[in-house]
Amino acid sequence: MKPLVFAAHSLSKIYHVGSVEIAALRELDLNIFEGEFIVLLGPSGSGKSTLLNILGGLDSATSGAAAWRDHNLVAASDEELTLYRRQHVGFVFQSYNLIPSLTARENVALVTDIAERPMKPEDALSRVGLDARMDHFPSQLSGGEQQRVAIARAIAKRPDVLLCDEPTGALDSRTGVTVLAALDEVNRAFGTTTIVITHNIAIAAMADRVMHMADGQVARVDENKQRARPEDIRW
Amino acid sequence: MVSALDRKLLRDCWRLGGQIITIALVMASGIAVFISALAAYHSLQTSQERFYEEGRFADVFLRLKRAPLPVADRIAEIPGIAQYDVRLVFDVIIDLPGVSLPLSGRMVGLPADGRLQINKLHLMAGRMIGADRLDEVLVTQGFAEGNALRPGDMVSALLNGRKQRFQIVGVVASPEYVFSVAPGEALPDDKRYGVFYVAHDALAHAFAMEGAFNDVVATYSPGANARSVEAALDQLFARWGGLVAHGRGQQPSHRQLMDEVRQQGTMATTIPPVFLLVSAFLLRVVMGRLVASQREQIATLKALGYGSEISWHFAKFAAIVVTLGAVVGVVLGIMTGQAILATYRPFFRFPEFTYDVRLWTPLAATALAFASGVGGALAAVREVGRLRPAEAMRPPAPPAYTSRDPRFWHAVPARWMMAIRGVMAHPLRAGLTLGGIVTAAPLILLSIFWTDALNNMIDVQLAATDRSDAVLAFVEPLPPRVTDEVRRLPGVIFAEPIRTTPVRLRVATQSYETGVLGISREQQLRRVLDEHLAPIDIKSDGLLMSRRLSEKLGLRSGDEVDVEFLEGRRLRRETVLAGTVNDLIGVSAYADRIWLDRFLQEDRRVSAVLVRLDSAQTEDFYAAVKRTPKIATVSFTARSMRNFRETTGAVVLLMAGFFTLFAITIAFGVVYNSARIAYHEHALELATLRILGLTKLETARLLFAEIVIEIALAIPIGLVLGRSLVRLLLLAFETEMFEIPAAIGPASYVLTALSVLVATIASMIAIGRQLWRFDLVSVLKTRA
Repeated sequence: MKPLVFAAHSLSKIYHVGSVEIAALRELDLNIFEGEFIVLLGPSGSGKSTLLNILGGLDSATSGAAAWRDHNLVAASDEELTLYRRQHVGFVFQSYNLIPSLTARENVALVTDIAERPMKPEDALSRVGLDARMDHFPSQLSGGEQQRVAIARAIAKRPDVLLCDEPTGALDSRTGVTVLAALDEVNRAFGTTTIVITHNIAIAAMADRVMHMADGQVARVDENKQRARPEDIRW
Repeated sequence: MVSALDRKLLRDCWRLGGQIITIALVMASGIAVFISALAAYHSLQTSQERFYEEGRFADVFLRLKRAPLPVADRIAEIPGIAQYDVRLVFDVIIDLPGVSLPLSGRMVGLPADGRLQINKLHLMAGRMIGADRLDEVLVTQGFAEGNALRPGDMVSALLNGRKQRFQIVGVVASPEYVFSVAPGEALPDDKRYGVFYVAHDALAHAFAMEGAFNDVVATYSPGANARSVEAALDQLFARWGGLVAHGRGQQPSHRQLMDEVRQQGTMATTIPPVFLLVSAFLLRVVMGRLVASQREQIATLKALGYGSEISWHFAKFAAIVVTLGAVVGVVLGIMTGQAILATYRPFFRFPEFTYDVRLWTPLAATALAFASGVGGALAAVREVGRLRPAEAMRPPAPPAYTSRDPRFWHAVPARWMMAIRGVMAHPLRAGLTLGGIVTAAPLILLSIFWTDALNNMIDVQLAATDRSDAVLAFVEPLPPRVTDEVRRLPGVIFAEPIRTTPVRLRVATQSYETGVLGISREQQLRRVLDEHLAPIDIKSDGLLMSRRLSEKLGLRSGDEVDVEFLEGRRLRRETVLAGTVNDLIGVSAYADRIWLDRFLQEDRRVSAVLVRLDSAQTEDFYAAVKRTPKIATVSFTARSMRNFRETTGAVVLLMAGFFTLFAITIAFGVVYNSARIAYHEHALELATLRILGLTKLETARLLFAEIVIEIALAIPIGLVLGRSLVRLLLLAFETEMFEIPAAIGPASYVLTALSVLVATIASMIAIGRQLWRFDLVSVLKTRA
């Protein structure tokens, strides 16, 4: 049995918009183990992003418990969450969020400059197949290349968990596959616990487990006996 | 009914409040300087014109030794003279009950009927002198205020060695002494110097001048030729010991007034454009950013069928900034003008010193503000008009970043590369920050520097030039033994004689009237100094001159100069310029005292004696001065310097304070707006960095790195530029009589840099607070 890394119990998150209360998470329970590749599926408003934000230390829960190993993510202060993100979490966003004024190499260096035992930026970029594009600015790269820079940036600090919010949402199928391949490679090579949010059911095939979310809860969990290879995925 | 677009405008304004206010404040500062300087200008001018008109201020002035009264009738025969008065004028020692310090005063004799034709007195309190009352006196309002004197009080004067008591019957103002300063002093000292009007006969008896006069004032008839009138007067009075007749231009009170009026005019025309230019640039950058961030909205509005309304919508934004700036500026300007006038009151004694803000000045200021607003908003408004809906729906093309030399850049941490590329990618904005600080720093330095100049003048220059404790000047030059007599006065440790004589210097077609100061070769108390404040060896031959005088006459060392002595026999002789002197106040020539007497073909004479005093015996010295005949004026060096420091100090401090504040609004406005725009542009990147694990402090450092780079460049440039600006400005402010040393102390540089830093830090805190409250999730959502 692999060790437990994420554990959530009765996790709730309530947003107040004016006088209206919106429950994004309702008493959610969840366990994720070391090295797992998890895909979170679900319609808009099902709470995927909220869950990812709380697990990534970007947002705090209203009630319940959530922990990464022995780090309590609900009671942590702002400073503690910053440190948690800095040391343990890598993020990949749908819109890449690269710094336009920095080259690919420099965007990665942004993270390696502050990490404790980082890879060299060149190595991280090489892992996602961007050896030839290191000194290009984001505006000079295609969408898929930009997203791979974002992945390189996320993995360069050798994070314990990699959190990806719709990483292929803005990409066509062929480009999307190269990004998925990069995520898969990182997960296998480093054993990085990886959580991917997506609308795209096709991607579910490459996960260890697929969590279906609805109404702020994990409605169902499917286990894949055999993880599909990213190259075999089409949509 | 407010239209939807106007509601949007109001909400945009609310959201951009900080930026609107800072730009409006820079604009307001410029307008305030404009209005206050012009208000001071007009107030001085109006009060002056009114008083000159009412008091019939003379056009031409002449001092002489002694002329019999019937000669006066011949003045009327000179073509071009309208009216004239002949009078007796003497400088005397004044003794006030209860005041041990001997004071100085100028006594002016009034005609028998007490009625003056010109330079008429304005009665402020009490009454005029009664007919045949030889024991009554009128005093000027400055002296009355300075010593709390009222009609009915008594004052004594030492007239030709005899103490005479007068009763004050009235307090007056004279157009001749609006700005009244003791001979040899630079600034009024109301406690120690005043002008007194007594019956002609009171002076005539005391100075044995019955049936005679020693001073002429006259007005011109319309169309008179000033030069020929002066020449005719000169000629008429040459044999009566007349000095040279001169016009208002050399009348001390008038000259000072005109200098001040001119300087306020310079201020109103030079400083405000800087502020308006900076505010126009700020508006340009802020509006450019506003339009860029609302491209999609503009496109949507156009798609909905809006046309020129959208351009107007953005023009209204500029109009709101300008209106705010104009309103605040006008109010601030009117208040500042009043404060300036309040500092003038003790210097310029008008019967009525009314605050005169002409209606056109706020109107012109507002027009100027709107002009700079149009200049600032035009580019952005045009851009709005030109945007095509389809094009505007797409985000603007990112700036083209380039890395020419990746190898070199590798040494720089990626975070700092963001800042460096940010500066390079937005050259206009970076240039604005740079330019703004480079503009603000010199203005601050310029304001702070005055204190240095004042200290340098007093502590270094004046103190090094005149090392005496007191100066005793005589009614007329006396034989050298008077120095010994002074030396025997109680409390005197050391005495050094000087000789002064009025001259007219001629070089080619130019001429200039001034005084030659003959000083002792030993230079124990009165010294002439070079620019390093080292005493200049007084050559036994030739004249030394104030640098300003030699430049005016276009003379170099060794050049010949024609000297006409205006005393006695009016000798005219040739000599050479032996060197120039680094004096700050006045325009003088200097010579060895002994050589001067020989040159004048006269027996040795002494005009004044400088003394060093034993501080334990000053009271005895005061009392002795009051008993000694022949002393016309006495001045106390330390007191003069203290007065100089106190009177100008107050004015300088006030002006410097205003200016520093105004200049800091530029620094703050520029830095705040740059930081605010950088914050909005980089909000998403900063959020990303926070997510990647950078702390708040680290992201703040990144956000402000750009500004820090710009400030680090701008401050040194600003300070160097500031130094040049101070020098340039001093040239503009340099009058014939006055030179301000460009001595900027190290503390002023530090203080200037600190002011800029404080403005920078204040704007960083204002922006940083938003960074601290940053909601990571919502920032990411806005983009998605």
